[in-house]
Amino acid sequence: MSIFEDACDVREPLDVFDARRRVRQLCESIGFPKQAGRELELVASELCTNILKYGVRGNLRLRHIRDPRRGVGIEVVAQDEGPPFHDLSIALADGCDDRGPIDAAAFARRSGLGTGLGTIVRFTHALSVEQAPVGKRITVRRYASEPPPSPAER
Amino acid sequence: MAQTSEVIHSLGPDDVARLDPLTRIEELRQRASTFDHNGWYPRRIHTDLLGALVAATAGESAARALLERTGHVVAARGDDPFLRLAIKVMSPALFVKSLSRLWSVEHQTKEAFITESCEPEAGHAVVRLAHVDGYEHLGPVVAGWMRALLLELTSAEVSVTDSGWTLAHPAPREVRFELKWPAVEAPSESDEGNEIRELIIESLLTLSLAHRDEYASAPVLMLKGPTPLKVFLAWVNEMLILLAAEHEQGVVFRRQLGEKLVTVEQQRAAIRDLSTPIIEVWNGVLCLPVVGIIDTVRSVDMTKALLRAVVEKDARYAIVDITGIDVMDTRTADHFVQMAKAVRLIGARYALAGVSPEIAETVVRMGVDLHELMTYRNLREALQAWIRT
Ligand SMILES: Nc1ncnc2c1ncn2[C@@H]1O[C@H](COP(=O)(O)OP(=O)(O)OP(=O)(O)O)[C@@H](O)[C@H]1O
Ligand SMILES: [Mg+2]
Repeated sequence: MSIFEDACDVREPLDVFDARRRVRQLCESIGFPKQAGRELELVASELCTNILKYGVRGNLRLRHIRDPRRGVGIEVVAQDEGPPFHDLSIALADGCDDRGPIDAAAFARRSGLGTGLGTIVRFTHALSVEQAPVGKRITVRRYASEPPPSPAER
Repeated sequence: MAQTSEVIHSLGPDDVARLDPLTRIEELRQRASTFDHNGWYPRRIHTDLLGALVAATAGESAARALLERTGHVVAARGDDPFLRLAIKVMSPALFVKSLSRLWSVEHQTKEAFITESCEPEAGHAVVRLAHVDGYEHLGPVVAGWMRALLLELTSAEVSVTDSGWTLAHPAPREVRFELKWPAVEAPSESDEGNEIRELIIESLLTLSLAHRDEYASAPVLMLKGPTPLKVFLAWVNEMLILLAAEHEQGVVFRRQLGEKLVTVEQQRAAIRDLSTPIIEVWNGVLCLPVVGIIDTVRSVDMTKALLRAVVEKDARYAIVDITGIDVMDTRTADHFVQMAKAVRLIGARYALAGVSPEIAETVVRMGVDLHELMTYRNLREALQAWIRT
């Protein structure tokens, strides 16, 4: 493993912090802009909590990337062993699970707001999902030199 | 101590103004010490509360008395035996000469006192502290600190007055102090006597640095004066060398220990992020300081914890201090607004402190109406607003 990549398992709540620390370290070692690094830490946090909530268990891989067009960036790949998304496009929307809007009465009982994936979208430049019958892989990328993805506009 | 805090709890905000300043400071100190999640927070809460109290006291002289008492407490709290002894050995003139040294030992900052005049026989000196940036209320606090020390070494009528500070301009860039102590009739001490005193003070201050493990900045003492003193100074030097060597070894051990502690530290950081510290800064006033990166899970945890605390403590005012937030998504920001509505529903007032321009902008761009929310630039202003009502 070089200073340009890192990985960790995501099996229990404390692993979320380990993942975040690794993101922070990678960002520091490659001189990633500070604010972008923090936002990416938040993204990693959301990816990990989703793995624990819905994906059973999995891992996170971080990579320093260099795109001829878009410049340097960091790629985060979250892989898990859980069931596929019922409908990804619905799940990405704020206040939704993967079937539709979360019922107001259900908020009290469930453990989230349904905005985690929205946060991920708002803080990254590219997102793709590969699904298998069991398990899936979510890949996000954030580039240093591109204008920050604007949280409010998406 | 427990009694003090119980008394305070039974008081309403109007009664507080009548309390003895020292009691309040001890109360603040106690509150600050019960909260050590993040190193920076207690100090800030301490100064913010002090600032709020100053603003709430009736008039400049009451505020001044409060601040001077704070200085007294700082001086009285010193737990360094060498420093205390050095002060006992000093004459007022040597005290004035050593002010910068004493200040740097106590506060580990680089501001230096400049002596403008010192007439030991007349019992009078003027010193100046220049280029103090970003300190509020430094003048009266330092005056209180000086007076306590001067009193300790003369055990007589002394006075220290500062100029530059006013309630309206609490942070001047320069503060002047006028020190007075009883004039002496007898001719001043011989030069030799003075030199011996200075050597003793020098060695005590050096030992005081060693006492704090600061060998690097502890100077090697010059062997001067009559023979017994020379022997003593040589002994101090020798002891310092031995201690420094031991310290060196300790450093190695500590580094190894430190590596292990890093792991523990990471877990601590995780715990800090997981937990939601809610402090009751005043009777019925809750403060939730939010630090770091706020993900969806944490924001939900915080709402639940705050609502629970408001009900449990029967709070009338809840301040959420978001100064320490590194990153928050806009939707999560919206969640804070919802939190406000929930707090109001259960009958308490809610204020958001430390709203940065960036957060204000994103929240407004999202179309969230902040109008019905009480927002303050910082915790201090939120507290002041409460104390005034
Ligand atoms: N790794 C995953 N595996 C399977 N389903 C997932 C995964 N991540 C998210 N989902 C689905 O997508 C929905 C939306 O996820 P999102 O992170 O936005 O909300 P949440 O986790 O329910 O709540 P929040 O993140 O706000 O606490 C989830 O309710 C879940 O149905
Ligand atoms: Mg989520």
